[in-house]
Amino acid sequence: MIYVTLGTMFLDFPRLIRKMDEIALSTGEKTVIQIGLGQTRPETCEFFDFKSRDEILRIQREARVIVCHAGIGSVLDALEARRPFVVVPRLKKYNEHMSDHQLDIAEAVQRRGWGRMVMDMALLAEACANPTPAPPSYRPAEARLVAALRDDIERVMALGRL
Amino acid sequence: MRTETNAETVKRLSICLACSHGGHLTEMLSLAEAFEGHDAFYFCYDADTTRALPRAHLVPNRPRNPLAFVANLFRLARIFRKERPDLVVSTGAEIAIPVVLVAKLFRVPSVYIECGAQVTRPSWTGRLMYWLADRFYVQWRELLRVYGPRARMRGSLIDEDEPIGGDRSRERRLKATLVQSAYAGGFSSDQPPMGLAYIASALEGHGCEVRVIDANAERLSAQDVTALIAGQAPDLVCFTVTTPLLPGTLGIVKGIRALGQPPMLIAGGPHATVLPEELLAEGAFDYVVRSEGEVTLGELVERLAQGQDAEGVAGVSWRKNGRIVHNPERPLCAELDALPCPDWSLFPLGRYSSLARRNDFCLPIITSRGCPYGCTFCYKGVFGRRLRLRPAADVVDEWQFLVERYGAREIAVIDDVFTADAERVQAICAMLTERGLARIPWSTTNGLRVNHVTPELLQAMKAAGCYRVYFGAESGVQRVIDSLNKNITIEQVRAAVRAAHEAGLEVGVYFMLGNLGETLADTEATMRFCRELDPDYAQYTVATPYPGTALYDEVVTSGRLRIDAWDDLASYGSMAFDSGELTSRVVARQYRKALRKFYCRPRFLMRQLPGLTTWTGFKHRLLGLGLVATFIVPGWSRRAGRRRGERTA
Repeated sequence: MIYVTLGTMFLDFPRLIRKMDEIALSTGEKTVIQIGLGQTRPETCEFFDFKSRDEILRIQREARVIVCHAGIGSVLDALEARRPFVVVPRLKKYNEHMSDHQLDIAEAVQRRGWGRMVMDMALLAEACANPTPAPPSYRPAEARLVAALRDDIERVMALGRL
Repeated sequence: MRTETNAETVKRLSICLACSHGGHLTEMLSLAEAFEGHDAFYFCYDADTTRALPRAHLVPNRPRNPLAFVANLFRLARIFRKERPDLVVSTGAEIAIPVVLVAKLFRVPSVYIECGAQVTRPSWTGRLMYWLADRFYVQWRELLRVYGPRARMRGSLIDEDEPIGGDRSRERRLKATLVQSAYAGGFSSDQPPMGLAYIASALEGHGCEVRVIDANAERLSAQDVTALIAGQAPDLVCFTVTTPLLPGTLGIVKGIRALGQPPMLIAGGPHATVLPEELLAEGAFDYVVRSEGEVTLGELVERLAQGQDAEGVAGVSWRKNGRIVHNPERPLCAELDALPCPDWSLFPLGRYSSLARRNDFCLPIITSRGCPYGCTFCYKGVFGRRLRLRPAADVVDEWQFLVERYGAREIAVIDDVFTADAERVQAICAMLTERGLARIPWSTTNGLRVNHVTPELLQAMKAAGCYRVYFGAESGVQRVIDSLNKNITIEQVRAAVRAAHEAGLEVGVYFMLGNLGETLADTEATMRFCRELDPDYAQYTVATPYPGTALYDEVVTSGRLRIDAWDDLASYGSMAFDSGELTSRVVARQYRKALRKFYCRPRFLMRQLPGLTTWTGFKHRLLGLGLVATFIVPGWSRRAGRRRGERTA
């Protein structure tokens, strides 16, 4: 099963939806798309707008591969599911987002070896067929950031300033 | 700040959390653990997600309306008066701007965390917050190098981020705080302390949770440092101790000893290596780590973590059953490339500035340790007299790391004898060019030996981004140079300065005044020699006999030392011994005269004009002007000399 997630963005992402339709049609693999607020509806793939986070994490764990837009929340969920994933940035020139910052996120994901970035839709079918394996040891440094903030709080308590 | 009285007094802070309602709120909620035990309240836009928050002040979501912005300022002022926050934390976005502005007005410290969606490009709120907020965190390495020295990366909600020295979480992690105290003459933060950064990485590699307090950079009094340490409650506190740092260090140690449960106190560095007994005196340190500290301290903390003492740890001096014991020497680290890179992420990098650099965001690198020469004034106790060189590739790897990870805009090579092996320097320069690092300016701040440089080598350095070299000439009189056992000739100094100028490098030359047996005529000759060389910068110091140097031993055995306490030795620019020919007053006068004669020349001043075109250049020259004033006004020279820091080579 391929799980596709487009996040909560209010702008449409027809480029990806049409392509996933095409891929599902040719491979016959079950494909589920979380659409969010966009207007475009897929023809072949199953879809829904939103589901609870627990349910989404469950679907993701069952997926063979996750295809997601390069929103931070979606990327984090995909990493947490520890499934191979392909990241497709929304681009400003197609009116898929207001800026091209998703490109930066997608490139970072690719650089770290967490997942594979696809810009050209012609390459998506191949990427879905051969995704890079999920990083086995991915662990965000959340605890370090919390510790840094606690240090700052400690400092304000000791000195009244930072 | 609210104080509640339970069994003991517990302080709770009032913390204002400011964020907009989407992903920024998600990030704030992920960090909620940090604020546990304190009274946090939110300042957010009115939305479904924020209405569910427990304590929230909600405002209409009109980010681009200037009237709404002004209305928010007034609203916030009311909220601040009611809630009296002690700290503001924001994860963005633009809602942070009015909050941090009002926090400034109310003198409330603020923390800004750049959103995880900003990977390589700063947000426009972030650009503003970089300057306004007191702490500024980014969550991607790529972004750290884009911002500047004020930005820090300490963990992330998305990216992986391990301590430089490695993360070896153990069952029992020791908490270690590394401290550099203020200098005896006052705060001086030319350059982040390299030794502590190496120690930080080494301790991280042994599973310690490391914090750093640089009292100089952060302008902290001994009471401030003690208060910080009391709050952090570390298991051990390590101090880097040079002679000028000793008085400040002992002040802090006294404060720590008065705490309820004082941590273990460990001293390292030159002064501790020469005089371990002094630091192990009653009521001072528990352990002294002699000579190079990385490996020794690592072994020591492994034993301390298991509740053991320093028995059998080579290189440690300590108190065993009330008696001072010196464990055997530890051989110096043979493979320097085996040491982890210094961890600069723990230092307040935005707070260092030196007039001797072009850019304020300059990180140091040391490519070799040890020096085979025997200059009488130089201390060799820590790194020894055997020259140990790091391989060129290892040096350039760290160089690249400093530039790419932290975004360093300049590098300072702080070796004692950088150019001892010309081939290695050629290889380093070639690699710097190959890897595109030649665009980053660098200089050799501790001085090169004039007998080590050739025109070809200096040209290669220039081509690899070096913009200035310093040479240690020490004197313009061959007899005085010889008395220092420096092993160079006046002619070599001339040739080196000429070759550096011809290679297109700026040249700085170091001189000393008040050496043993130096006469008034000798000091005049030194000034004349300096004018003849016509370097771009000249640096004078008054000869100082630091313990552990040949000079110190000589003045002590001949009964010439004229100090009552180390504090007297720690104030630069004044004579600490009877040099034979010159009185303290004459040396001080000649010192001021030498600096005045060099820096007040029209020729020097003219050379400064092109530098005024950049902001940093302008700032440095303005500060320099203040320094020059201290040479002209008598009695200010003690303060001026202090800025030099302790120099070797």
